[in-house]
Amino acid sequence: MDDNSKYRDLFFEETDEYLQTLNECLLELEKDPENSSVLDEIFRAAHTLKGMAATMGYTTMTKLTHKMESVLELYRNGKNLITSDIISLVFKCLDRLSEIVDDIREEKYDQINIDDLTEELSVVLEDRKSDTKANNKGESQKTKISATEINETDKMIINNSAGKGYNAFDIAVTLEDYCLLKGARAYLILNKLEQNGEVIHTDPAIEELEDGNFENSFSLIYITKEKVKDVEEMLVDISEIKSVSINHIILDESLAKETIVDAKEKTVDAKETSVDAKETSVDTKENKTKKIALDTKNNKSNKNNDVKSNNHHVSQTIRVDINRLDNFMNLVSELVIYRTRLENIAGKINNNELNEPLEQVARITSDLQDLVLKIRMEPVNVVFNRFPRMIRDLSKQLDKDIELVIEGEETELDRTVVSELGEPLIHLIRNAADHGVETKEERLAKGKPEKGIVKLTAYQEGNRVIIIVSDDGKGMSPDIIRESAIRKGIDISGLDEKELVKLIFHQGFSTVKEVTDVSGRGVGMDVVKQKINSLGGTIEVESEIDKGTSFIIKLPLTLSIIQSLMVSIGKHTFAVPLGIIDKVVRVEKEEILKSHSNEIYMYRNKAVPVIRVNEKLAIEATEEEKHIILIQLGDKHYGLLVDKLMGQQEIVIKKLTGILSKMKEYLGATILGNGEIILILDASNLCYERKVDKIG
Amino acid sequence: MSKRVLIVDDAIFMRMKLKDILEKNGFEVVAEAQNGQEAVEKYKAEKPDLVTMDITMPEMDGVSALKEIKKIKEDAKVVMCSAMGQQAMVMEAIQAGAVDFIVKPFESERVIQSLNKAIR
Repeated sequence: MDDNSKYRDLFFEETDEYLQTLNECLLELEKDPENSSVLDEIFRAAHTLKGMAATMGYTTMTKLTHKMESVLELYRNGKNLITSDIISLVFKCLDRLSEIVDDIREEKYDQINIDDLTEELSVVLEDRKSDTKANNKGESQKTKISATEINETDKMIINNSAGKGYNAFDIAVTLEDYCLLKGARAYLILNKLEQNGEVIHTDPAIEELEDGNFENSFSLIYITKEKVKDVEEMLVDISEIKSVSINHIILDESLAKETIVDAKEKTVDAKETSVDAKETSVDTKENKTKKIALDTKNNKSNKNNDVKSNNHHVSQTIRVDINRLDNFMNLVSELVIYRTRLENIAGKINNNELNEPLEQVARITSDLQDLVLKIRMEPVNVVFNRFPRMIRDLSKQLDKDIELVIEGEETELDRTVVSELGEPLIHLIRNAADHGVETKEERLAKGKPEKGIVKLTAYQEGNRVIIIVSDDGKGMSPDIIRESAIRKGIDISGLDEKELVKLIFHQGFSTVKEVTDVSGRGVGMDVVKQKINSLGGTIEVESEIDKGTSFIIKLPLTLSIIQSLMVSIGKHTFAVPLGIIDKVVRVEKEEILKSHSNEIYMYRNKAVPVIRVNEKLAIEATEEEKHIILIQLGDKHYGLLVDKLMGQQEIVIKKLTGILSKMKEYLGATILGNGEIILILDASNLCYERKVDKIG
Repeated sequence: MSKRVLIVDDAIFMRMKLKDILEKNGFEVVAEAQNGQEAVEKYKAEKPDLVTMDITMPEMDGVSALKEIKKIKEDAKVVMCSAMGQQAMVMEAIQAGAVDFIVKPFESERVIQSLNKAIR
């Protein structure tokens, strides 16, 4: 086990990916059980998982994947269509696998029982085996790949060329056991074939073939004008070939047409997404480039998909530890400090020879900074991709017909934001499915289509990303909310309908009468709101009865760069994140009132506790102007008392490390253009600390 | 009539070994060359039916020699001789028109099989 420990991280990362692929493919297969290329992908992923688990010595996982693979194998030859029961069973297996993987991750090995599942899988295996035996008596197995395994693109090529007098052959080649340099041998064979035609598909993929990564045999699809006999002749001339089998491929015409239509639909889809991406563009130059980057990214990912389906594994990305990126970022920031110092020195010397290269350095460092920020971006897809499965399960559980529509999944956000986004989104989507979308009967009675729609949309707007979770369900009734609020003793006097709806973000508020399995435990929307706020974002709700509800989340593109208000306290300058600031007011001494132990400020007729930041930080304040920064935490306001306002600025956050990281008063530090280091105040901490003080 | 072969290899030992194998199996070795340059000259002079070409040689390597020979006679039959681990070179040679390749250490049977196929 020790030997494998260094692969653990990679193992988990890859396993997660494969499980995700399995989930996605399985969903697709459920919609289209005849899609054999998806089934193949599922099979391959399961197979790879098994191999990985076995290599790591995780026996339970190996056992389960093995059984699963065997069951999938049954459906792979295309003779038996996969049933929804089997798909559900495989889903169950996947869930169990995730459990096992989590278990292993926490270093509790093999504690999960899989007997029930292996039992179920065995039953399927037994049943099927006897079935197929009965059906296939006397039928011999043909070549290794059958026409059903040919993927869509290849089918299209085959069909197109068939009309022009080309033949397609499915060729399986077995090399002699003693064959050396198998890769070169395969290359020789392909090369020879390509002299008179075209090899459009190989199994394994061409790179694997050329690297010699295969057992003694491989198969390929070959398009040529030659006849079977001629092809045979070409291959016979090559030495070290043990056997060759050549099959003429003839595809069903009707199938071919379908394929083409499918492909067309796909391109239309792609266009739509790019249009979406464009709609989000804003005029600033930065955004334009972003848009282009997005578009190319789209293309790239499309290409990737194509490549994937063709079985070529061209790696265009590498994995990087996020800590290294943080490190990179820090180093770049440090570079900026020294650049600034150099610039100051150069300014004093005033040497032209020095100034010119310095300007270059300045440009490069800021490019570097931009670059590292971009590297940290991740498409929201990373969180979105788990939702189709969730909706599937929810619709079964709730017996509703729900379709999840995802738009703009390629929109990018800072990695940290993306990874924190999962939880609140799960909550919102659950709510939409549970409370939003009505039951089938209700929908029909209202004259709505039986199928409800939950929509997840993401797009970039300026330097914010907007994510909208909406449903076409019953919407939120202000009356019910009003009733519920009164019952819970929440003061609703003077609230209009819009404000009433906002009450759902209020702590302890839930409109569902009974707690369901899915959601509605009374905690929830306020937690969602807090989470979004802590990410520097905001959440709003729009609802219309019987039309549906939309939650609009606005998030900053990145957590590393924030807009902040620069303030001075005494001789020091501090930064306050703009996101949490509600309002800034100038106060006269007399406006700060004393309650028995605290100071308060009257804001909108409410008493707001005042925190003297200088006292908190034990620094001397000046006696001149005073300003109160009003911040909103949850639904309470606090006022931070500072001296002067210096202006608004975009700053890059640098985390404090070592002993400094224990300083709860600060979020981090930033380096200004002149090389000056400024601390960023953690406003929420300053206010909460105060609460503790009061109790103590 | 027996087929006329040109053996190209920088090691005398390898040439002897190959010559031995070929002659026992009814080939006629009409010339030997110890580098690519020599191989091209001998090819021009002898016009053999077949060439066995080592890949790594001084002066001119086997792949370049192959290309030169192909310029002289487009359908010249050249079988590359390679050691393990020269896959990239072999592929380049195939690209350049080598009919086959054999991998060292040589085994008579395989060499003969390959040459027979190459010559057909």
